[in-house]
Amino acid sequence: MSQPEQNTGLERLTYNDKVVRQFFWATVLWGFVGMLVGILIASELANWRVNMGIPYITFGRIRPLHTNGVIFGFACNAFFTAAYYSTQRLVKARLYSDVLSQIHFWGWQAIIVCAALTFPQGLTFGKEYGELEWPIKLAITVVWVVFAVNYFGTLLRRREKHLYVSIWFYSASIITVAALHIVESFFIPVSFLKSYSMFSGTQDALVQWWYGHNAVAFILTTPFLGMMYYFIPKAVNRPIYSYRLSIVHFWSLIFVYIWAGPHHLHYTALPGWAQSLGMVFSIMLWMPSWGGMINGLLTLRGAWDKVRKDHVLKFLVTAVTFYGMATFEGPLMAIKSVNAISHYTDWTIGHVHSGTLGWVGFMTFGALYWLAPKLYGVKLYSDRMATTHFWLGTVGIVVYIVSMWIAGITQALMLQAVTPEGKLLYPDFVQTVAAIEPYYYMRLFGGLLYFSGVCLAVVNFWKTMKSAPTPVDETVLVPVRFVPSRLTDDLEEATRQKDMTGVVNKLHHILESKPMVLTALALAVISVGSLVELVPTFYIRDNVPLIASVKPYTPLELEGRDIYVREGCYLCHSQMVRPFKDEYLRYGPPSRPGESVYDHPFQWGSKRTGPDLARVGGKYPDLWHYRHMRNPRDISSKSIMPVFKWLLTNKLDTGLTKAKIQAMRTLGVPYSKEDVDSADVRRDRQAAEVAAVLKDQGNVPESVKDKEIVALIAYLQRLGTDIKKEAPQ
Amino acid sequence: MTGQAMDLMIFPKIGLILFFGFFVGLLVWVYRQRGRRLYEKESQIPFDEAPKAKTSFDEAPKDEP
Repeated sequence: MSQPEQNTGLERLTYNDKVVRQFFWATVLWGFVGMLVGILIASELANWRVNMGIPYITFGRIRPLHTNGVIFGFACNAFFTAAYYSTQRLVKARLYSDVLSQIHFWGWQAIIVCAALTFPQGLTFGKEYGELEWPIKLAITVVWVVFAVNYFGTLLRRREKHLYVSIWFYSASIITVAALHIVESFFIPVSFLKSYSMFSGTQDALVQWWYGHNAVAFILTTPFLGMMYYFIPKAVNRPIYSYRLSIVHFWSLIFVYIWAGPHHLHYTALPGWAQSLGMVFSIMLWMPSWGGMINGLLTLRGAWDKVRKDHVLKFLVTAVTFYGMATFEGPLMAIKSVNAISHYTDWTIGHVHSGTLGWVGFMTFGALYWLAPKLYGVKLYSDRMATTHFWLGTVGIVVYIVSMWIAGITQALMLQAVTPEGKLLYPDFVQTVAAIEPYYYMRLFGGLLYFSGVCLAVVNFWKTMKSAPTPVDETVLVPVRFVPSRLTDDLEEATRQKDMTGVVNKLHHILESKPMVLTALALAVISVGSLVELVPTFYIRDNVPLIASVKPYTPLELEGRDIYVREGCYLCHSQMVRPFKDEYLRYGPPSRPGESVYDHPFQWGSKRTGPDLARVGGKYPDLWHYRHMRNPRDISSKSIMPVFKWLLTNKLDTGLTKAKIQAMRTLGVPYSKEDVDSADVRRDRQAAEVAAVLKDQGNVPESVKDKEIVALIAYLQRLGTDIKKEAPQ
Repeated sequence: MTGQAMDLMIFPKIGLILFFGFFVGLLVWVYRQRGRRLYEKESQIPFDEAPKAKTSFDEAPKDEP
């Protein structure tokens, strides 16, 4: 794509801006869709009637659509847009391959479409932010490899020797997301659209939050820091405040971030040493995070007046400010005593959204507003609309996070409150839900404000594109291709350079011209924390001691468990009793690691919109569960749980029972060959027993025995009962 | 001593030693710069854009108003 220019020593080169424009619009589209689904689920939490009794739009099924839509649709496409635009200019090279660029673009959009098709049907892997089923996971792997080849291929064909800091962040993101995705996705397939996690219980929980937390780090943070280091200097027209600080920022951030995942599992059955590591490193993470924030904000030194007039800078500066606030709040919430209050509550939801709406959202829109005129060669359609978008978004975020702070802290304090006699002051969980319901409306209002700003952006971008002539990719004159030098030559040159002093500076200077070495080193740095936390949990049995009385699920219970996962029950109900007085009084003894050893995947949950279910087995009669699923208001008038009446009429799919038991056996769950062979018979026998009990308790027709509700009741009635059979010690 | 107790003794310490080693190293390195601006050239990379080339689009006759 490059042609020599006569007598200049330069070559003509045309950047691939077509794919940048494609990703630009994909970002806008999926941002709109993902946030619209966010509005829908916020409405469902505010008022259960919005679920409308339709399985495909019920909260548990479409909450993953919201999270995946905004993470993989909006944020990842924003990353691709920014990385492809800025990297081509930073290294003065066209993207490595037009074909790979198009495979990357269309492949990624196809993955998001698959997510939109599968989640409403309840097809889920059952692990937060990694819910896509195994064929789609494989597709992600393929497309990500295509992206990596295209990106690193571009770096290898560069005309600029030195790699700017943004490229380090992009490169580290690409390699780390690959590692996270691969480990989190270890699965055993049961059918084309059903698989089980290869990990279980405590180990699965650790892998999940190693993945989940670092998806925040390497999808929602480091790519956007790369964007910050490019777009803020460009928008304010002055170099980054401290390049040296950016070096410290980069290495310390990627090193420390990877350790912090266990703070999502404080006071759970995760080994204490892992929790302590997670807490300590989370607090330490504050420093590199703020190093980055300071670097971004101080870039505006002497130019703050520009923020008043420039809508791009408004978005970018506010994004960095929200980054600073979220990365202060995160370490605070990772302190165990604070986490005892914040965990499982809406405070976490507020924290997440100050990062996603404020940092990721505003950084993205700032970049898009900067890019739109450049990609289309015309002025932005309306600066005023962009400024209005900014203010709607800012007020929306504040309303959102304040409502969630109040809701979270209120609920936590109500749940912990005890009378002078030592009894629970609010024994019914639903009392606390009723108290915070107004804040769910307030959150919805904040979300609507933010979303209305997004709608303005969509119109603004559309009008900008329409006002432009047919876009032409930028053609530039670049130096002839840079030939990579040998390490010895680099060392010799570094020794000669007088303005670059100190061994570390010289070595880092060399490193910055070696993209593959830099990326490999970044991988090594993130591997340290990963290995120190994951390996002992997998290979030292003492970390997860077995409990003799805990047995594998029966075939019917396993089917019921799959329905529980399909309906996303784990998104509102935890199965993890923490060692606190109020939880002991409300739910029973604290959960132990050995109780969930056969749970593929684990079901500890991360949020309690409803009560914990770890010990719900035997607490209520079967008929109670039957009526509860038919209409939760029949049992608890203030419940906000959706109806699940289709479970009463849907026939249980029994075609895979044997295959499921066999898959579990392969994973090490102690089923015998006979258990596999007799699975169908045992399932039907237990279903008939549950149906008989339902008939006895409430005259429920016996035909219920082949319905999904029977399997779910069997599963729920099993939860927490094994531990009660344990011989007293 | 049980295996779990040994884990508690060993692994957090390995992690903390690695962390503090790394962090202290970075602090020492930053301190040794003593305020010199060493990366002036690198921080200018985003502004060192390749000059635009004239394309056939630019050279095509424009419609007279």
